[in-house]
Amino acid sequence: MRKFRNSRAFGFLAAGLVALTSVGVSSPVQAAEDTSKTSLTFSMFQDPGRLDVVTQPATSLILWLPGNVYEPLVSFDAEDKPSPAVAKSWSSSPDGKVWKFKIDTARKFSDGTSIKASDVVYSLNQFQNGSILAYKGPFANVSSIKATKKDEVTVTLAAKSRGFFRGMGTMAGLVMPASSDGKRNNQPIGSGPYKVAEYVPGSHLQFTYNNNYSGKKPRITSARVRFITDSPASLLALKAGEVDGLPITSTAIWSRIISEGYTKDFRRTLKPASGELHWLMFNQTQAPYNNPVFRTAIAQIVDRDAYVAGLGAPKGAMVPQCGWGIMTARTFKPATKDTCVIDRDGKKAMASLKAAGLDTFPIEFVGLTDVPALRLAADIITQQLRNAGLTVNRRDIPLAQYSSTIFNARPPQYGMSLMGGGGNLDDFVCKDPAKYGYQTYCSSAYTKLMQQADRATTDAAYLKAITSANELLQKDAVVVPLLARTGLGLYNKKLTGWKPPTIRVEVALANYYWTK
Amino acid sequence: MIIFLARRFGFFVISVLATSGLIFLLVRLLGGSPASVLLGEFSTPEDVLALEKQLGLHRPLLVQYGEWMAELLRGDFGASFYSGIELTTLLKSALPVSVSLSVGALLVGLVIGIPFGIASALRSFQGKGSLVDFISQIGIALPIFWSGAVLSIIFGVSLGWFPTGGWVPWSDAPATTLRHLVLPSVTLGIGIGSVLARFVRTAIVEVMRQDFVRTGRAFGMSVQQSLFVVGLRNAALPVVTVLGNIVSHLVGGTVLTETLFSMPGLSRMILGAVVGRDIFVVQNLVVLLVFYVLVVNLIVDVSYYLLDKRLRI
Repeated sequence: MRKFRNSRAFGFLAAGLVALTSVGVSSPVQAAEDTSKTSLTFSMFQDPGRLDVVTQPATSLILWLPGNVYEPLVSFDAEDKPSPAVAKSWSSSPDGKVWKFKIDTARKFSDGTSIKASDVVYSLNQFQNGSILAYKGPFANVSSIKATKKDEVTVTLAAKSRGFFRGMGTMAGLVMPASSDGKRNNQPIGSGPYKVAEYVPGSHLQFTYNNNYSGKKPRITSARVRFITDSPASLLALKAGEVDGLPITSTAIWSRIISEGYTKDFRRTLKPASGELHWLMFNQTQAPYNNPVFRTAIAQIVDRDAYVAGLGAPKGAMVPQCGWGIMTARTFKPATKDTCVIDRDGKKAMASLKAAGLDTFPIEFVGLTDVPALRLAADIITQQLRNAGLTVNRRDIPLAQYSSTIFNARPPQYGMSLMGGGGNLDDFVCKDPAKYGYQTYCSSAYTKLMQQADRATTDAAYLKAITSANELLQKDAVVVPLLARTGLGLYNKKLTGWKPPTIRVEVALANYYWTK
Repeated sequence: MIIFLARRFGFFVISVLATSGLIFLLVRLLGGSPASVLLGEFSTPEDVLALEKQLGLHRPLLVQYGEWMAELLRGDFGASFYSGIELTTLLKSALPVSVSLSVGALLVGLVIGIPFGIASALRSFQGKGSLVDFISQIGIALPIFWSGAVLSIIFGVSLGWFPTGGWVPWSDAPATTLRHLVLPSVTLGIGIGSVLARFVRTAIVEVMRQDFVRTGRAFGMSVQQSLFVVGLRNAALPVVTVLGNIVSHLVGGTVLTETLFSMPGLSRMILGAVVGRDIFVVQNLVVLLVFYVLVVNLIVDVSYYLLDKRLRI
């Protein structure tokens, strides 16, 4: 066995994080810290409904729990260097197939119990066997996870995987007690700096300092996240001083934020790592959506520039793109003739649809009733398709139904849909088409390229493989990326300390502090 | 009195059983199996069958209904299909919010509606009631989302007198709860008061034209005296009816108000369950609403009995 030593291998995220700090964060004026203020109130435009991070992938949840209530097995800093977290040390075999993690059993969960190796095994199994593909990704090559000692967990891989170890610093590596099984929807337990003191659906999520936390006590010891579903009302609450910040704002109010001068009165942050993609997705299992001619034609019709303009974003916060990945991703490139595999050409598209007898096919488009930003986006896209001469039957369903029936490994239930999300290339790695969940794109060629990337021994080989995978994703056009956008946050000017997320998109409350 | 109450209570129980049975049947007969509604339109038959078995939907309807009623009587409202959170847990936090908002809005409505209605009725005899009428018309026409936003901007953001939203339980800090209630109650109460003012005015004008009032006036009573001695009591009957209707229909108004002021109330919960197709949560909440409306109707009937001596003959 050799001790884990690697800095180059994870240059992908390091580059992203460096870019992140240079792109979006407005640097606050240095001011003396106000130690008398130890609490804060944030607003969130969506209530997660349930608090189980294993089954609930909503941004409204993963913003708050991963960085505050839970700790990952291994931490990765801004330079992507690993450091101890729940695992105090680790080692891997020379062939990279066996990993041993020494668990820091001196750490305790917020319920007072010590972390055991069995808890780590339980946690990793939860994500490995769960239904959220992004969390399953790091376990793609994992063949067994065992507690080999009271304080040791051994993970055996079928093949070397660079994604596995890095994944232990993400959602897939969060550690929770086995005793939390079945209770996580309203009583999540972790070993992070905070615990959930109260969750009142429709009202708020209250965090208090976790007295059993092993790290340094944070300056903020009490934080409340209020669910203000009416976005204009959240702006009024910020203006009235009832909330101290909106770490993420709905794109539905971005134009209002600019026109009403909120960016002058409050500190604005553009956060590429908290951003997401918008993309069109076809149901690859149904005709004619399974026909590449049909999909390519739709991809040719879409006008990304008009789409971005229609959404009315602050400058630089939304960028049209044809490839897959948020702005900090290494594969990210804004849409141009050179970066798009499929060029925009509406006339050519309609001609090819007519030739295939598909120009009159009524497209079944599923949108969301309760996500304002995507509702407007769906309005724009469906109108673009109709303007091109296509028939679009739009059916909007609520997010809860969408999540429960589409995300949770159920059969795809739509012809075409508009989605927003994290933009991880691993999302489309699929071994068994019968078992893939909401992602209808399942390509053996794509999966092979991503496996090559995962097993790459050099950074150049890794980059080549993921670039090829991205190009293939564009060419297959089951998933048609439209834009990448940043997150946009507004804060009270005296509240500072925001840092880029390292686990996923989390808002780490422990980083914040008040200035005088 | 006892016979009247017993009869009314008997009707109440029959109504509860009939409507709950209807709701139970509607949920099961409309749109196929509840399991297929929960799982979505394109769920596989195997999935639907498995869920039906899990939820006990394969058993005879009468058995299911009996079990459901027994659960309701025990106060067991089940759990959300999607979140797994017990409905009683959700109700414990949501019910006080909605009840407080409804009571607050009603109080505001009464404070606005009765004096304005009376003033308008009195002025109508002097030909000066049109201003009050005009104001009450505006009050009826104002949409809740607009009046709520305006009140928030003026009294929340500019003056800082009241919070623009949110909720603090009564048990935590009653004074703060009251402050949180003011703007939503006024927002919802303006409409109620305006409707009420018009009905109070009409009722009083009608009563004041009655023979017994005219006789009183002939014996030297002033307009005010005849109003307060005989007019108000007789005008109360139609007003109580309207008030009953307003209370029954409050849920519709509280949906908007609770959303606008980020209040975690029952109406937002119902809306969330309907939008999310959490069908058994909807079923149980609708039964609770029916129960609420029937209780309000019972109270209105008893009020009639107490107010109108003719019913006691």
